Amino acid sequence: MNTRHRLLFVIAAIAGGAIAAAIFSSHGHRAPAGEGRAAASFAADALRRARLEANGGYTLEAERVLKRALDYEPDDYDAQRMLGAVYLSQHRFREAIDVAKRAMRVHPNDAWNYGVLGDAHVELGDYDEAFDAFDRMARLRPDAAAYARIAYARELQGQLDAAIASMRMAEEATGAQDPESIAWHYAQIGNLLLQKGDVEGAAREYARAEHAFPGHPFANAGRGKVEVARGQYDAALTIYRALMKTAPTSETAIAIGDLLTKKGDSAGAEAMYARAEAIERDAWLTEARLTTNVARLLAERGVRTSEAVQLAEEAARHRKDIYTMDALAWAYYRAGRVVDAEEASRQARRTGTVDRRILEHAEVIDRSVAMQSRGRDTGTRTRSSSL
Amino acid sequence: MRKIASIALAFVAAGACLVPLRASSHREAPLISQDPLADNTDVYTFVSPERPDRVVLIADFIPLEFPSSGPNFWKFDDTVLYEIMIDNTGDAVEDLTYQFRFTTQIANPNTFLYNTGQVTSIDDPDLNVRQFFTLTEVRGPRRTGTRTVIGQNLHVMPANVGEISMPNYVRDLGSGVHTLSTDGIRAFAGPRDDPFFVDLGATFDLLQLRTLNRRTGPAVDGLGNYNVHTIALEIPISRLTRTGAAPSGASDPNASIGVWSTASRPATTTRMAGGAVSSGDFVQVSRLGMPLVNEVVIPLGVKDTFNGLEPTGDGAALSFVTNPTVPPLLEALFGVKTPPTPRNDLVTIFLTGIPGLNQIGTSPRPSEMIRLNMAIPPSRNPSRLGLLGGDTAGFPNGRRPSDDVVDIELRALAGGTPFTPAFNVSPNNTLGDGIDANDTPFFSGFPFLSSPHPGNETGGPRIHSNPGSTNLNPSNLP
Repeated sequence: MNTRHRLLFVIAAIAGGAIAAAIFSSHGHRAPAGEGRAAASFAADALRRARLEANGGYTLEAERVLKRALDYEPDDYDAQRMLGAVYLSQHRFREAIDVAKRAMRVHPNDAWNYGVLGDAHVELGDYDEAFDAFDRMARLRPDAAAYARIAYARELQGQLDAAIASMRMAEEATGAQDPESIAWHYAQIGNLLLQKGDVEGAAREYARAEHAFPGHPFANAGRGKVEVARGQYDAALTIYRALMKTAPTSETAIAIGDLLTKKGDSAGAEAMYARAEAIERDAWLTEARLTTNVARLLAERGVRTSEAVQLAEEAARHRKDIYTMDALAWAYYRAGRVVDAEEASRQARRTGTVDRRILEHAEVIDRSVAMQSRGRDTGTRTRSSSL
Repeated sequence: MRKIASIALAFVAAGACLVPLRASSHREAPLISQDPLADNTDVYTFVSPERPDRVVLIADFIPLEFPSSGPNFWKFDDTVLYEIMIDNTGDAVEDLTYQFRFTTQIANPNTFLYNTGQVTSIDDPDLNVRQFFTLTEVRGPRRTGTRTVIGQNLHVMPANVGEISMPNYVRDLGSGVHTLSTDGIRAFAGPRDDPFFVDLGATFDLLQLRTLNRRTGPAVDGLGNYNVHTIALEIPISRLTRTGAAPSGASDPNASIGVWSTASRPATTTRMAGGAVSSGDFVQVSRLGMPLVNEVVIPLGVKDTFNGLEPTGDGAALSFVTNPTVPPLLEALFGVKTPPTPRNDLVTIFLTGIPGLNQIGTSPRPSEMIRLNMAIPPSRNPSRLGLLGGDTAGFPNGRRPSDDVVDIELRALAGGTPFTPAFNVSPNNTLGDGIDANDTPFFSGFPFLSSPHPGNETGGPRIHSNPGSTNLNPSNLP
């Protein structure tokens, strides 16, 4: 992609020329060229800020700006395709798919649209469709965006080394002009290394992320995880508490709650779990109502079990991704529905993931099923012998 | 314009009163990837004024490198295959390819610093991040031809961090030029001052060509003070011809070559067997030959497709050349009358070469590349306007760093060339952006491009306006 100075020069020339032509001709009822591009640029910045501050309000503004541009020029391609990315960030996955498919009809070889399509399918658990889209994206335009998605697909399939290698390619492919993305990639590599149990390797990647983009929330979240893994709970709490002030997420609140539980502060822990739930429910104001995380939170804590089942089933009606199926499995397990839990857990493992939580849940569920089965066998034998 | 302003104001106003709203966590990877590391910016090829039996091939990558980019200093991407191709038969298929692959070495992985102290030599242990390159020559098609490694473990010039870290970049760190045992080929890789010059700011401001509109003051080189990453070769002419012999003269059918450059990334999939990451194949993601063709001629919606094309597929882009978009803009903005379509004159200049000057063979396949007649000796008095300035050793016969391709191409698009005599009048043949030369003098010897601007350049951005620096200043040795 030659988005370089001469390209900018000529885009400016062409866009500027078109604008000027519209003005000079004084019968420009249509919106001038370049308006959608300006809106898309605003939206891109807004999505980045949403990521950095964990503030969904920015995605609403991005949507508003893009739709305003599309009111003027419904066919504006730049605004259309960016809208798909905004819908993704709002968890409106089916709308993102619709937008991506419309944009593909205009430009079938624009790799961006396959990224949006694949991201949406991944979230919905349509992994074959998602991986097809990522493969197409990587064939059309292998770059940081494609490599990062390939990495995630590898992670989902339990291929952590290949995922790390792909994510390193993504980081390598990111230029110095985008330190935030560099930091994001380092943090992802750190997360993958943590999954492999390489705590010090992960610590190094999070430090790199912090060096590239000081204060990046994903770097700080990673540093917190490293301190937890090292058993340095106070250090982790300090990091997490600071993070809650700049980019509060339910994961961080839960992590604090878990640490306070370890320290015996159950009241403080309960307050943080309540905060986590409130964050998730607040998110429904700006995003689609996806109930997976609240269901998981309740199921993990073993509270309001029937509500956990209800929320997990609601989520699973909309998406079948492995994390939703895991939340459903654990909610069923907590509710004593072991057979249902086993089936959901099987779904959660269908990609070959090595996600520690999914596998731990599966192990407990499988053990429980086995015990039930032994109990039934024992009962049958007892009944037989008594005949 | 009013509508754009209203959207901008709406966004700013919304942002100013934005109430934080919580977002559920999700992990979309960034979608926007400008991929500057695999982004060709310019290609140059010319007979060396330093050693006229040799041709210089230069390809630049990574646009708009701000010198003070630390802590993430720019470098070549270890996963990218950087290539310079030569067609010496006119069939739009490469006959020779020079491939550059890079590896990065970090001396002390326990620090993230680029340098841990003052760097006073290229081997200084305080230089923490080093790159090396391998140079391979491929005869025949670039993926299936005969490969010969002609240089290995060649050091890449480092970033010019600043005067404290690198007190004398040129004197202490050397020229970065490697002389290879194969035919005495010389090779270079590293950061350089961006040799392109253009009034970028005024161009963004509704294409304010200052040759026509002088209300906004003197032109400013928008790329002054920026760096690029350069790969450069100096190769004997005889090595580049189809016969292996130097051409007997400018009319020798053996005399002309076509040159273009690409960047390619490894192919990969979500489902590779055994957890492998790449198939080893490469996907071409960037391509450049003639300056501004990709940008001016190819519409935005098909740029990615064009970037992935081989020159043999360029016939599909013919209509973009015969019906270019810029001349109507020149007419709308400035009332400049331009030649009617189809613009076969532009096909000659950009796609087939000029008969008697730099056309390769008698029936070349239309394709986008720089064509150079290697038998035309370097000019003793180069004109920035190249052929339009009566200098047959200049653009579009090859391209020298000092050639003012913006002015030349604007004039060509307006028809201000001998190919369209009726339009070869003022203002068509006087169009220009008002920046006539680079902000920094070029070296008189290989690799010709100036040293990179240091990261701590003092005194703020230097404004470069005309009169520009001298070209190929003999007193300015690398």
